[in-house]
Amino acid sequence: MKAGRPRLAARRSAMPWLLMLALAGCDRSEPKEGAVIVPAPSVAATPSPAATPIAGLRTADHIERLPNAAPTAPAQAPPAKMQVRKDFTDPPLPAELEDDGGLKPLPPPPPR
Amino acid sequence: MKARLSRFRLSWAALLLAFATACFASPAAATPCTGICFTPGDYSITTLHKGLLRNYLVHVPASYTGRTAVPLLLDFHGFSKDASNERQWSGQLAESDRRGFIAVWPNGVSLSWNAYGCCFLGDALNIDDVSFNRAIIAAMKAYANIDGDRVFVTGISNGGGMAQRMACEAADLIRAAVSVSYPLNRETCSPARPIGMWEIAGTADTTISYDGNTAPLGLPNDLAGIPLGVQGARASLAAWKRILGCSDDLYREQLPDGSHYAGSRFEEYRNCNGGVRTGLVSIANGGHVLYNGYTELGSNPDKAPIDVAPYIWDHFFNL
Repeated sequence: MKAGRPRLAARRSAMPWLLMLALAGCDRSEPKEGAVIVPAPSVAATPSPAATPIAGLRTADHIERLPNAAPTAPAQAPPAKMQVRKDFTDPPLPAELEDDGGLKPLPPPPPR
Repeated sequence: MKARLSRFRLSWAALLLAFATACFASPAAATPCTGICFTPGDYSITTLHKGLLRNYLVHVPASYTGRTAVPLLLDFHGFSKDASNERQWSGQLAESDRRGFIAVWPNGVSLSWNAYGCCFLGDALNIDDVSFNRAIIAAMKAYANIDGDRVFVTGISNGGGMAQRMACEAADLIRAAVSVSYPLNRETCSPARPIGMWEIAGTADTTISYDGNTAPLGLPNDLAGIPLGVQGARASLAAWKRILGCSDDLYREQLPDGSHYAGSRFEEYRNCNGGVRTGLVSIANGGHVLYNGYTELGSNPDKAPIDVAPYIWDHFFNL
């Protein structure tokens, strides 16, 4: 009886680790998308007056609850200009797209 | 002792059963959230995706309870802008509160998206923005009760290009897409299933020409191996007609006249594969940024004859 207790105690102390290992191996074999991980059950978000991390989170995502109407600082525009590339030639437009079909004609393009 | 051991074995059996259930049960398409569950409000989510820290903003409308599946919208910002700017100007924040869908504004890398033909730095580094946005959709389905049949994307300019690209490469997740001021600009596009696709474009857009163009400023069409130019809005609609196998029947509608925008029109192919539609809203004399109330870049805030965000939901995302 006394000899059995340490074995039982050892089993019980190992239980959380075994559980963690088991859960870590739980995979539905669906394709993973980046590092976003479906969160484990945790507390739900609660309203807060300022940006605060959600407590008790067990996910790779860092989630902050934001105050109303102030999500982030505005972006600073980089010096680069929008430069678009087109590496193919379109076929001629189908006839119905060349035809105004009774609508007012569109204005000509602005001078470049 | 035997009784205690028996209880111990029973607890292990229960644990294994719970584990097996959790691992092998197939998830429902749209179910109430059981983990971290969003409640009405605004969130900023930062995640590590393919080695890059990525971020997106989320708005959960006040009407959201979690008991009913709601639509999801991803709204992409333009080049040199960010999620906060798009949230401020696109009009989708107000539409989210009015119509009850959850809105997401993702941030591109270095204020850009790797969308067909544009923009630096995203395209130069070949950032995998499609997989990032797919990951956002997956995460949102975990955090909230999302109707998987009503996931939509939209965006402006470079963000419109991202919406076009998502239509081509993520049609398995998305029902319909609307690009504001950016054409398909791609020769090949093979959506996994028919998808509704529309563009809203201004005929006086000097950033992304309505009629398309070749290289700007007299540069050659191919500059050191880099082709320049952009597809026209009507050529883009023609491309989507081919992609979706639409008939030649074209629905035409003259939009209400405004003094400055007289002649604006809506054209749509309504007989396409899978029963989807594709079309083009042409804003006569409209510029690049067509959002109502937009005042940056010296823009005229009056964008009559349509208010883009409610127009999109009334005409295209009303599925």
